[in-house]
Amino acid sequence: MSSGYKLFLLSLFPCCCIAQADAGWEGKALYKDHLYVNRLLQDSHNPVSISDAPEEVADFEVRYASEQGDYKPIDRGRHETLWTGNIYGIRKIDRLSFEGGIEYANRMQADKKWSNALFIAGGNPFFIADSIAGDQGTEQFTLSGGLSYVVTSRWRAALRAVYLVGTLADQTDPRPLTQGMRFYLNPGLDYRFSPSFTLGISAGTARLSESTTYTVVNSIEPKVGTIFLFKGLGSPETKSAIGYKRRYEGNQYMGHIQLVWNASHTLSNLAELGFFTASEDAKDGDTGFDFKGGDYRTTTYMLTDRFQLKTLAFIHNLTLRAEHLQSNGIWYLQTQSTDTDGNTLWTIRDKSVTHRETALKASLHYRIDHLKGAYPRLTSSVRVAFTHSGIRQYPDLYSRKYSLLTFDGDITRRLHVGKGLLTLSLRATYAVSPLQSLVAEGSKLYASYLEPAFQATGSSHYACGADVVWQTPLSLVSYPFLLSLHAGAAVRSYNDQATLYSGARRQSFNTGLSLIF
Amino acid sequence: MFKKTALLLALPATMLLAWACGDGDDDVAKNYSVTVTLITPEDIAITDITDLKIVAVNTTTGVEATLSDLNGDGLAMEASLTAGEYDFRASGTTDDFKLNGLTSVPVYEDKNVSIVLNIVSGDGLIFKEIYYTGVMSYYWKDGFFELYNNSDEVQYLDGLIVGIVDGGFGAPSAWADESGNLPNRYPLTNHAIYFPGSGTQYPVQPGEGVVVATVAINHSARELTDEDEASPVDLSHANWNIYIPAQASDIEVEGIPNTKVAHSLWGFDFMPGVNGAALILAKLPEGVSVENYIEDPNSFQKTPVSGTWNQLMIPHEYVIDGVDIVYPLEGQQYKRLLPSEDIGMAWVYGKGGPGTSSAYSGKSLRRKVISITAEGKVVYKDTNNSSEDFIIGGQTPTPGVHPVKID
Repeated sequence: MSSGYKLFLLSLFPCCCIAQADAGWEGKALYKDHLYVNRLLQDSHNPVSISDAPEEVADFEVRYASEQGDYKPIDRGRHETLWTGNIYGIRKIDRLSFEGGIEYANRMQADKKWSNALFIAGGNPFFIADSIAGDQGTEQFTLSGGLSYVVTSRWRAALRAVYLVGTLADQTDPRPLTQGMRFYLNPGLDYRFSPSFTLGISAGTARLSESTTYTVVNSIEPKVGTIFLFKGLGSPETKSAIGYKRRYEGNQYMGHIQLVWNASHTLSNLAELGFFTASEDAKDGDTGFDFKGGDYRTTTYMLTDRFQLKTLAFIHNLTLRAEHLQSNGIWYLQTQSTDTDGNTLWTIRDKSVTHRETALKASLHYRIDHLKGAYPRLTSSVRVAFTHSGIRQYPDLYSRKYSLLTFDGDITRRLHVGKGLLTLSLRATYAVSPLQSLVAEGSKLYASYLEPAFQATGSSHYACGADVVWQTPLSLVSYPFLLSLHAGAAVRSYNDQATLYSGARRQSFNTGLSLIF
Repeated sequence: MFKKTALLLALPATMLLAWACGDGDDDVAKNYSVTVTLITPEDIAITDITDLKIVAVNTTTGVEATLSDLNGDGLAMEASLTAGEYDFRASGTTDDFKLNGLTSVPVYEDKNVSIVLNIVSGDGLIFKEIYYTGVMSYYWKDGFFELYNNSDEVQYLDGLIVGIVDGGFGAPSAWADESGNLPNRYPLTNHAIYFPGSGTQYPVQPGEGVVVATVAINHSARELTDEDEASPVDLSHANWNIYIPAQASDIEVEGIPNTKVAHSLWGFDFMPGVNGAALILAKLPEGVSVENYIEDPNSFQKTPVSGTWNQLMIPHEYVIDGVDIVYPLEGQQYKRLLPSEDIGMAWVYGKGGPGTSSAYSGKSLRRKVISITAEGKVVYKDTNNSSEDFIIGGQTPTPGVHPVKID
């Protein structure tokens, strides 16, 4: 990443530090809900939404989360702890609006094995892994910033940038050290044709760089000297871990168009149509990185429509999302040779798509906010979501398919208690899987990886959780701020036929505090 | 105004969408049809061959496919294979001969492959067992190999050379030419040893084994400290001790004869390495002694590329038995021996099972037993195909001991 980009990001950072409180404390307390109900473009990909922020805010938060249990993705630790500290802010200066944040996250995963990837796409079949459980630590630093400028009464232009760096390390042989970086740029603009219609367009580009290096201290113990080059459902290749290196380079591009319709102050609608495409290429080796570890290509088309109805006492939001994804994993057959100087060379003999995933996701979400004054006192939402994923492995013709129908519901009640505001939330999920199929018995690691990974991914389950937040206004040297304390707990239980996870569940707990200015 | 602005906004979006729709990598991997025909030696008809077996081994993944008889006459075999580099191995027997053949072919399209079957030479001395993996902590001096007279005639050790074939580790041999073809002479590395004798001094009776120890002592009685593991072998009753006089750390053992050194390059002792290396047992032509052979400069060749060593070379036609021992991880297994000596490959797994390094696993490679005669003589499998002849993965070493049942 060039120093120019870093300077640009740093120039955005002060916005979150200097943001000052100029609204009532209740508005600060509920700023996240406020942003949702007042920014129709909140979840869109157009950064001009920064201009729609109703108020300034600066939020300093520290959070601790812990979860444990056996009902988990196979690549996650049995027990995890996560510390995060972040600063987020919105600042408005005349026609210019800033939004930015910094976050540091430190995750420890106990009894963690398999994938040692950090930032590559979750659907990338070409990841590198080991089968030895160890305690893995991940540190991640995120710097994000955006600015939006009201050019004229009709035009707005904006730019958002996110810089993400991280490291992953495990001190159990074989010892991976993964270092990664993602940098994301997202420009956008919109044009108001009439009081009722606004058309927007946004683009995005991101750069990925990630590398993993293995070291082995005790190289003669069983298994510790071995890693696996995964190829989706196909048999992974086994390699000696000693000094093994992999590097990923990737790019992402996206484009979206938005059409906003405002019939009046009470009725509005956002329709967004877009695509996302990404490439991630793996190369292995020492200095030359000559061995191609697989190319990943993915393209997603998405549609979002958010309809909003505001009345004096209620705000209704109905959001429909749909996306279609297709991914290809391209494998290279290569032969090894040695040149006249004794260097190892890899020659590509064949190239073909060995992994193809097609997925469809759709959801319908309804949220209602019951207002008292300007702020919601009671919020409730329901969501129904459908996911279908199908993976085909060539030329073995292995396959993995599942469908998942998920029902979510939550309710949040906010109460004035004394000088403070108490927020109580309950949520529940029920997911049922009408289709599950995995055909890959001939693949190496079927029993130890593919089958448990599949059963954890597309399984029926239920979950519930509760959160409580206590917020109270304080002042420090006549400087007003809001102290917010929160805690929550949740449990997720397996509810399907397969035996591997019978009775398995995963409990989570989180707590934290924030100072909101 | 509305129309122009809409076009202005829609144009780049359309271009981006069109670009995103492009997908140049749409060819999915598929299987290819491979037809194999066999070419038999003169005077041997395909119908004379029994126990005919043809396998295609993907040398990258280690996956084996057995070919099916296309016409039912044994002349043409067919398989549907994924793309890759393959070894096509054929073996069979007639009333008088054992036959095998190997053809290495890349398969990236439908192919016709021919395998030339050769008569397998030698029913005499063979490697019955090879132990090279050692035990923790880093103890490898308990290595041994056992030669065995698999024939019905007396064989002699006199003048036989045992060598470790050079070739590097987990990579193609540096001695191969640009097309990957191995040379017709085997380059030896480490120490090449030989048996003394005038020609008939050291007979080996049919069904008799000869244990040759790196150090002929009772290794299982070694004193253990910390993470040491006990060696599985007692070599105090070995028939021969490998003694490298130039290495001060090596020892002679009273009562056990020493082998001699034909040529030395490096190493504290005779060391195939804990992950193994190809071994050959060679017999020089009549009238050529080892001493004469190593005096001839033509018997040596410089290491390719580096020129590091002047290495002793053994023509492949001198080899009476060879075992192509390779690293146990697929994708890192490269042949060092020609098909005339061994069409297959053999390896020992580590304690963690398949896919783990054999180093310090305490396991040996042993030939399978194919029959035990009424007189009790054990007959080991010897088709010059170590993939079939040996117990792949390894076993607990059994120096001087012969199984009492067929594998």
